[in-house]
Amino acid sequence: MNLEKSKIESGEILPVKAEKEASEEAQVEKEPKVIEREMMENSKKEVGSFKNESKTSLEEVQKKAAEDSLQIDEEDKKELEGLNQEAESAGEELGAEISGKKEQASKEEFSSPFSKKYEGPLPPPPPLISPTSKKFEGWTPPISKTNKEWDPNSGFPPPIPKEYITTPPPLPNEVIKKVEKTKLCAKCGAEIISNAKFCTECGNKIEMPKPKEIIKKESAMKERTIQNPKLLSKKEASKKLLAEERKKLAEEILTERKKNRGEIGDGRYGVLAEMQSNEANAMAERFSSNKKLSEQNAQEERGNLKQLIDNSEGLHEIRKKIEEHYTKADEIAKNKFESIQKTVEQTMIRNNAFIVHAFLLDERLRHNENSNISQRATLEDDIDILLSLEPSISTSSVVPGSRQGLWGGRIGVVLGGGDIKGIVQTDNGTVTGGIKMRDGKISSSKEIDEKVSDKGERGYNELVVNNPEVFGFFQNVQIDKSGNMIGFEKTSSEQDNKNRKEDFLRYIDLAIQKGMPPLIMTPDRRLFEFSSISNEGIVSVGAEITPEKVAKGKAGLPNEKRTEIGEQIITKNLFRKIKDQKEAKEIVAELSGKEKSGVELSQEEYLAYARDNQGGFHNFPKHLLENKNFMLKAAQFNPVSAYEYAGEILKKDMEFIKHIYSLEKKSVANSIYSLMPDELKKNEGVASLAIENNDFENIDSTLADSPAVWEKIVDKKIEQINPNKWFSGNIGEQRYLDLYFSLKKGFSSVDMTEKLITNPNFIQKLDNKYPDYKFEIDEYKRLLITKMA
Amino acid sequence: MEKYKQAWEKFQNKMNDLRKRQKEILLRIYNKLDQQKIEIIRKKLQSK
Repeated sequence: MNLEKSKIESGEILPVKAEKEASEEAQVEKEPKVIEREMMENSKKEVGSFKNESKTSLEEVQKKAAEDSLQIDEEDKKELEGLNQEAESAGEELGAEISGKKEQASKEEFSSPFSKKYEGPLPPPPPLISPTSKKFEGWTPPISKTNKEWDPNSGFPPPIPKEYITTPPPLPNEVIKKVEKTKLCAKCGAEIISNAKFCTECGNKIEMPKPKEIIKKESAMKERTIQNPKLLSKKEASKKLLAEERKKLAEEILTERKKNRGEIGDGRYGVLAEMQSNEANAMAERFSSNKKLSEQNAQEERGNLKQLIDNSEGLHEIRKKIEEHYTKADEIAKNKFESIQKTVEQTMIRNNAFIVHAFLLDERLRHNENSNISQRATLEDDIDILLSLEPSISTSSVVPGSRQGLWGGRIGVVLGGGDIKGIVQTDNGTVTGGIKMRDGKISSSKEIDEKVSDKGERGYNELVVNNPEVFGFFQNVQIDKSGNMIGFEKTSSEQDNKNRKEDFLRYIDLAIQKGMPPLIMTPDRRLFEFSSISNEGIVSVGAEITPEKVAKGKAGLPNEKRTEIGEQIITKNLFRKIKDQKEAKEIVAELSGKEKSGVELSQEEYLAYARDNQGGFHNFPKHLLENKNFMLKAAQFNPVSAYEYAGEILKKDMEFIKHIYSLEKKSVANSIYSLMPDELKKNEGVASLAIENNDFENIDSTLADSPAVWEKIVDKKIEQINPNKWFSGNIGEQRYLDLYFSLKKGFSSVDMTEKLITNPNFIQKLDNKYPDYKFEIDEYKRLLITKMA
Repeated sequence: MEKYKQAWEKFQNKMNDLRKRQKEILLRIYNKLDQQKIEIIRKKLQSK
């Protein structure tokens, strides 16, 4: 028995608990029976773990299906459950083999496609993409709990062989060629000879795509000139980026020298003077290239500078200014270089990656709490906002030929331009702070490159992109066993297939309508031009689109089109915050060449905001809060809040107060009276109005001295007591009612219970109003109610 | 000893194959659920 320890620990061969745990003694040879027993124990654990994973995964998917009232295909379920039986059999087979009851099975029978390097023409199934999932993080195998060194007694199966988890190779060119250039018979799958009308294999009539199904994919996006990143020298940056300051500085030197000219004589200067003269010459040389400074002036300047030799202090000052100028120029040059490096286009070119923004199809999740857009916004609205306002958005990068996740995943846009703010390799949970502002990490171009160039299998990363320019619209496809790209899974029902095709084409139509070229993204994140889709779901594609093509291609709508769409968006009042609505208008104004300072929101926009935000009056300008007509309309969305934020004069307006009470009849919890100015609270008329509207718990206690007001309060209390509403006992039965009652004095409560129960009319009024009951006050000042009839 | 090693490797290969199929079936189930969800959304949109 010479099992190597390293092999055992790695799980390569039989893992034996005793050998891992025990001391040197344990490394002596073992009896075959002991090994067999331990192998069986471990295989049982692995089979058990597999079955457990199956069960858990099935339960999880069943739960999700139940949440959305969806049905799991019974056949899939059976097939999944059938795997458990196969796992049991595998364990049994192992037992039979090691005990010699069965001859070693043929190698072919046991060889797994994953025990050797992946060679098949097709990649394994794509990552799990569920628009109903809250978070999509790519597919994690349900049994991948074995990343650490495997413990044979852990109860988990050993590590999945490396080949299994390695990113599969991208679709081989032959397959792409096949998809691009050949058609397959829908019936038998045989290749169709070009222009043939019938299949040579099965005779099936070949349906040619109808002309209307072949999609024209002209981009309405604008042509661009891509800036090449070039780090300028200090001198170049001074000339190109600080030309104005450079000119001013040159003029300053000229003026300074002219001023000093008269003070300088000849023949009085030594070696130091000569050095200073040389330095002055050098400075003049540096600035003589400025076109605005004529050659003659430069010569004169050189002469002037020579004369400066007795004024080293002045020279020092100028030298200092020049140094500062060049330091500033250098900094600007570096920042400019970095900002070009951080553009979407340059990042795509450097890292051969796409930067995409995917849309969630689930309406409930598309605009979650991180979004500044109302859930009323449709997918079309979202696209319009993106194309017109080019807001700061979250995106993800994917490298063609890799298995990398996308948020949402099924549809989205590929960006051709924009400025990357930062990147995080996972979900960064960024939140908007306005249309053109999103929080999140700020990253250097180096850090962006490190993460974007990652070709490994992973979930989605998050990049915040400012001023995004859209290149095209993509829709994901799957790859079937024949290597076809499929837009939907074909079913036996023609109607279902028709619906699914329509669903697929709906997004293509939407893309075309918005001027975005429709594109197809494969599971391994390659991008192709979309051509057509057959009734069976097979997608035909055109040329492959590379990241470089995207980076150098058309992107972003022209300003006129952006303005047109933006104006439509503004009318829909889709922004959750009123300041974002204003920002949208400012963006559109600037697009059409107007000053944003002239932008104002209309009353209709504020009313729409009040409607969507149950008021939100604290964000309203003062002139609107003082506008009676406007506030009368706005109050319908939140009467109490409208009164609270109304202008001081409006707060004292009886018509306005009555209107507020008419809207707030049902609620007494939100006291309007308590929000009134103090002088109004003392007004008997106002107090009576409040009492009539059941808003009397906060009435000023001094008003209890007014017989008219007090009588109204007592009547309201009697109305509240109404035993017919709650007394469920039989005749002769009694119930107690606590009568505690208070009014207000400033912010304090004043107990009015005594005044209420000692009121001679109180019991009399109760008896008269509710003749089926008898009312008395007991020794604890409670109301004793006896049912009489 | 070789017999045990081979038997264990075969068992492992079989289990890996089963895991791959398990993953494929689960993926298929999720894709079908997504299609159903899309159908529901599509119908909702049509009815609007």
